[in-house]
Amino acid sequence: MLLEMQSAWRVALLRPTGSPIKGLASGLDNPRFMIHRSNVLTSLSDALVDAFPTVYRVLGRSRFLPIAIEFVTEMPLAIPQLLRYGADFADFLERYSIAETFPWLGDLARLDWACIVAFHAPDENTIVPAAFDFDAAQAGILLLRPHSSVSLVSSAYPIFDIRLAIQRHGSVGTDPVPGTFAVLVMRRAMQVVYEDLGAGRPGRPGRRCFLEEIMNRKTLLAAAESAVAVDPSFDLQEELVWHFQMGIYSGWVLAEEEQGV
Amino acid sequence: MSVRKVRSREFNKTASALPLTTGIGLRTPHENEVAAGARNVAWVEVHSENYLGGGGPKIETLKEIRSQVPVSCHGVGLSLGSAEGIDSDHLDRLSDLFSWLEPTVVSEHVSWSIADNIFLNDLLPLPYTPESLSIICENIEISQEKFRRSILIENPSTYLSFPESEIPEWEFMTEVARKTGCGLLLDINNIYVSAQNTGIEAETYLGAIPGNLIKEIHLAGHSFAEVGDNMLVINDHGSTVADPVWALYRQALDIFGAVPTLIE
Repeated sequence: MLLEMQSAWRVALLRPTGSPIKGLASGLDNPRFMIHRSNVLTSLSDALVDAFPTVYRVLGRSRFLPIAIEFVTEMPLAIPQLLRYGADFADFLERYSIAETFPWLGDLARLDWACIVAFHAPDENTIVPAAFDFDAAQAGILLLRPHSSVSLVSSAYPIFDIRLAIQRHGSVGTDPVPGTFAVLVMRRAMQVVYEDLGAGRPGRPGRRCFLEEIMNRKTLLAAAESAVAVDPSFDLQEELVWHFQMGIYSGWVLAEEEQGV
Repeated sequence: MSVRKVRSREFNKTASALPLTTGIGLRTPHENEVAAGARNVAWVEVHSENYLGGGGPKIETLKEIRSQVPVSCHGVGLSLGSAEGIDSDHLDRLSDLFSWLEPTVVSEHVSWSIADNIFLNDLLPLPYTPESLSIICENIEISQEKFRRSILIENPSTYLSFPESEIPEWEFMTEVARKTGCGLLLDINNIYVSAQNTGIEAETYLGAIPGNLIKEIHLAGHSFAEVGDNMLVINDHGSTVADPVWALYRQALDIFGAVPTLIE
């Protein structure tokens, strides 16, 4: 009995409109049931407000909340942890016509989410140059493992500048010019830090390409070759010094060893 | 994935107790101040689910606070009243948290929040029936087995009554404690809210609960909302503790003596 009642409540709680169905399950015919429906929809959509502060600032409450409530009803939370709610929100946002007005909105949401991930990620040691001792002949099978706080948000828009402008001024100003951009987000010394890897920044576009390849689990050699292909001046050795200083990696593994595990 | 009943086990029922004084609910804006020792607090209570990320500054700050004062872990995600059983992954995550944090007290709610593997993020009401009693006892036993400790369970704020409820809430709570060995966390504001909304007698409630089961008290605020033709009292952690709740708290202290009390 209780199993059926809770299942019926679950369905009714996640229906944003309409009266409860009389007789479906105990309690549902009571108008006071609406308090619980309101609690569920409000608390979960508020969790999205907290997780996506920049998107919220762009859209304002009146445009953000209807989308958030649709997300709550269509993609409810499977894990009893609000901190993990919203990983799919960026993809969901891009379904809406508002994404035509703000074509960078999905990537802005990804950047907000990357901050949440970086803030709460497990603590791990990072590789220091002295410990990165490998045989150069193994570069073709060496996989660098990014620290669990690291995300790379690639975008066709200058997403770092867009986020900064929204945080500072509440709006983007002139329409951003499309191009090839990426933002590295990670935690260093207990702080979330951002590195703009957009065009025209030092070390780019090789750095962006190299990191994209590493995040896609390409080997050190393959990532370096891709980086050189887009930026002939890319120097792996020099580049890795910067990566280790940033603390981007928590370890590495040889692909053969990994397969054997 | 949910887990079903495992064999029952005896726990150390005399788990360490919170200081016999007032604690505070630790909220994000105050974390750094408390960690720096700038606030003179005897103990703090945190929401367990806020510290399951695995790392980062929030956990580092909590470790610092834990080194200074006792910490009580108050959960909102275990869903002890779920008929489908306890989420075993969540149980594992909480168990990991309690292993390193070593909280003085672990508590949860007499409610449910998970159905069909969906988390609804509200403390939803249970009909007080023998079936509900059996389910919540089983889930508490599984949790206590996993955590290797007894827990406290908190009475909910109630807005509606189920026609099939046949056990008064205070009897339900007492029976759960008796069957599982858990203790009680008595939320005085919740008793007031439930009394106003469903017509139960708050004084009867206090008089019926065995004092030896009560290990912690909560005090919080409430607000009012119009639902249909009725003005309901809503549990609201944003308001200050109201005068009638203070009065009820004084009655509780007269009956039970001093109990560690949290201002949420």
